Amino acid sequence: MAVESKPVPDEALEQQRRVTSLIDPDSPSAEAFRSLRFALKLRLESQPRKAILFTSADPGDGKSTVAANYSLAASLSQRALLIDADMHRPHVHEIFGLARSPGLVDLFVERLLPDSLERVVASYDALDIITAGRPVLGASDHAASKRMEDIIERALEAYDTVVLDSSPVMGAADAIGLASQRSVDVLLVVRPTTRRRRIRQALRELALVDANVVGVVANGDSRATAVYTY
Amino acid sequence: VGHTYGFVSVSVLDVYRALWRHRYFTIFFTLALVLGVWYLTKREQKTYTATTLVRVEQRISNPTEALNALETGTRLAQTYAKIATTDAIASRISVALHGQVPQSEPFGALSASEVQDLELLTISAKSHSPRQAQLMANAAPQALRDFISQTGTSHDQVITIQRAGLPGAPTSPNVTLNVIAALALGVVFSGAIALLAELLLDRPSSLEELEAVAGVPVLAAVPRLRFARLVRPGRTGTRTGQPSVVTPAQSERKQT
Repeated sequence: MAVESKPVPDEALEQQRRVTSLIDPDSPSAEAFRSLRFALKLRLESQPRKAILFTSADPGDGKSTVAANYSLAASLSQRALLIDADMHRPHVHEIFGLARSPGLVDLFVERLLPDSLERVVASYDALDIITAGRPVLGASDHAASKRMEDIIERALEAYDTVVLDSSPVMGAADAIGLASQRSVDVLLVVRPTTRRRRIRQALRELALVDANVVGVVANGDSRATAVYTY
Repeated sequence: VGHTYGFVSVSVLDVYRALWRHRYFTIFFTLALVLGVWYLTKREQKTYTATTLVRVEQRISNPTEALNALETGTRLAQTYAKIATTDAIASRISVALHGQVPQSEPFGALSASEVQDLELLTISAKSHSPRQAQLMANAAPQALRDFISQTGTSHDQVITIQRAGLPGAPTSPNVTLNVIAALALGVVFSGAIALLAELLLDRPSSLEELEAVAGVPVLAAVPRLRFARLVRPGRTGTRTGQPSVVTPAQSERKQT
């Protein structure tokens, strides 16, 4: 169920439009996300269903864009939920042209029960979205909390695919906190410009909390363009 | 075969891959260097060399001195090789060729070397004009003879064996040699730059290498995305109370 919120001013909407990062689900670019879904399905088939956390070593690697488009592709055939768990610099609400709040942080601040998830869910076509919520200090402390675990588990009960978009591993504690949740699998988004050293550092950080890193997504790979224009 | 230098592990395959990845840079750099060298070499003033072969020997008055004269002949050739390059000889040539070559031309233009173990001497003259090089080379034996007669060593004699011909091709610059050298240097330098760039940039260059660095599989390679453009309001975004309006453009499909 979608909740009402204040309309976004036209100027703000225009800004949102400029940063939009969605692709046409029928376009060749969407093929990469379908391939990713298929690869994840094959890889995680025999394991208990978990949320997929998209993170990266550094900011600007495109994890929000990848997470948003992956969720959108998933929503074509499944019940899919995208949660913006980047509480420092959230982008999901900008990508989909939604208001930032109410969202994930509001679940913590207003001490809503995980069962109240519907109260903060918005939608974009068939995709359900929980935006980051209002900016509050210490928001990243919630990432590793029991309440977050409950929210993720509640989401997994209600949806076939749950996607978390988080901050970069090296930029804030959110990603590490989320990755430490037992009901989360981690995908590392890497750009062609990401340094080897940063990738290793990010993976080391994730390994410290026993994160289950299931794979890497190479984002912005020029060689992939030819493959997906078939 | 791998070698580890501190934190950096470099294998022959890594080097090959680095060079292959930067092949366009290598080709461009090498071609630019070759073209640059070729252009500069072509612009360089041509130098011609003409060579005269002479025999230097001691006059003998009776046959018993013949063997001794032969032994001293090779030493004489060495001595006159030094004398031939002096200003004393150059000034004599300058006077002899007055009006045919510039006065200063013979100075520094002459070189000479003895033929090993023989009493032969080659005298070469260099000039930007083939004709002037020939004239100077052919004037050198007479200049040596004048020097001998004026210094009182009249038992030494210089006999011209072969006069210098008109040089048909310049001895410098050597375009072929310079281009080959530029080609070799271009490949070596651009290869070194490519390897250095690889080490400094520190980026995985292929999906295989990314997998090796990460230790987990690459599940997808997302191309550079062509994003949707907003053309009409009113699609979804139910929470905002306003349409949020993202309509993917059709341009991408059109292009494929």
